[in-house]
Amino acid sequence: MRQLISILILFACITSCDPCEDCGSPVLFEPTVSFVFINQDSIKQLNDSLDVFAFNDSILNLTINSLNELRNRLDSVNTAIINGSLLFQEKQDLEEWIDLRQADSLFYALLNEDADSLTTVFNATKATINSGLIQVNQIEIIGENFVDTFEEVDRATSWKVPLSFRDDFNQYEVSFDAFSEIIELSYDVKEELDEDRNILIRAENIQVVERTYARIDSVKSNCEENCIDGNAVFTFYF
Amino acid sequence: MRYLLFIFSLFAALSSFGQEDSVAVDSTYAKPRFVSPSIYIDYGKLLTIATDFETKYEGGLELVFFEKFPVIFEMGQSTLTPEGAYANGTYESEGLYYRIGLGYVNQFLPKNKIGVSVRYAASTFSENGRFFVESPSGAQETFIRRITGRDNLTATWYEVVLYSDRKLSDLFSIGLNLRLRVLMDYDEQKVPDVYGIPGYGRAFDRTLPATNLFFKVTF
Repeated sequence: MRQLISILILFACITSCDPCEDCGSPVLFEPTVSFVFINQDSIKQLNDSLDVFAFNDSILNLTINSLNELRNRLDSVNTAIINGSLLFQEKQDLEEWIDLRQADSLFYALLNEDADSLTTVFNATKATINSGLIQVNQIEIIGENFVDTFEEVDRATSWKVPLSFRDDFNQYEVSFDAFSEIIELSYDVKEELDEDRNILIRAENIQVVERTYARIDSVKSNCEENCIDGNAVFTFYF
Repeated sequence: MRYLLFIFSLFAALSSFGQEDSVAVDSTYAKPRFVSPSIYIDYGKLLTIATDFETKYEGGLELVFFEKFPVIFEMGQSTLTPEGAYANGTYESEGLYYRIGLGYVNQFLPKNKIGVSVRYAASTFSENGRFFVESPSGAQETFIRRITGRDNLTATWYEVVLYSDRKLSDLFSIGLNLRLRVLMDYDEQKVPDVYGIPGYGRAFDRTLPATNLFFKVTF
């Protein structure tokens, strides 16, 4: 009897079926890529302002150094005159130059008055723009009857967009406050089995199709070779 | 690995019993028959008819020469519908398989025999199914694809079989096969690859243990 039970247990172990709770039901999955948008023009304007602040600061330093040298020289000339030298003309010239340099230093000091606080604000703004945080109003997949609309609270640093199960090409119209752009992606779709034995549709060789944009200047991807869905991030600079 | 250890330890234990009892058998020595034909069915597989994940039928013909050297031919049919084949789809594998082999058998108790054999096996089968992928964003309709066009697939494997039977009468006996199957080759497919091979099991397992319970009629 024990042998029979052992045989039956062994038989049950070997022939037992795979555990599966939701077999045959659809899996929720689709290939995606991420878009990041960097307002490069704003960064350039901020950099220009920061350059002006730096220039003003350097000129102020030069003016102050020059003023100090002129004052030292005036002290020397005054001492020489007390000792009998006839350097009255040089003294007069030095006093005129000192007056001019003082006016210059006051001017540049006035320009630099808010530079430090503005530099902090501008650098923080640059970091925000470089992070990709931006307000996108709407992303539409042309021809797929898919429109995703966003509010102010939906501001994000990257925007995930779905790729097609069946096609190897998509057109996305991305709308901002000031403009909209059409971005085209081409890719290859393939079937893949994941570790939970779901058959998934994946995409590889994802590329941004070259075209002329209204505002976008350049595109970069994070892929070293083959861009695959889920990992690919395309950064658009405008 | 633990199955291998189990099979070989069982074989070693039973062999030692056989040596102890061989004296008794030898003392009643009679000239062995040139050939003893038997047919058998795998009654364990008939239990699968009651399940909803597979249906199997299997039987065999055995010719034992000089009561020591069996030549075996087995044939079976199975329909595999494992629920875990694809988590997001349905699957069915159906086909015929056969095995041929040679072995050695010895009497170790008056009514019991034990033997070992090596068998070559082949299967011809078809696969079909379908799977579903739903768009979480709602950007597109649910993707449904049928797995079709997979007819006349083939697979081959080898088996090492340890078997034991017990005589119920001069005509009937019951027994047990413990098999270790080693997959040699099969027609690989694009994703999703072959999952179930009739007569073998899951294609991604390169070695598989199995057991059979058989009812044998010896003429």
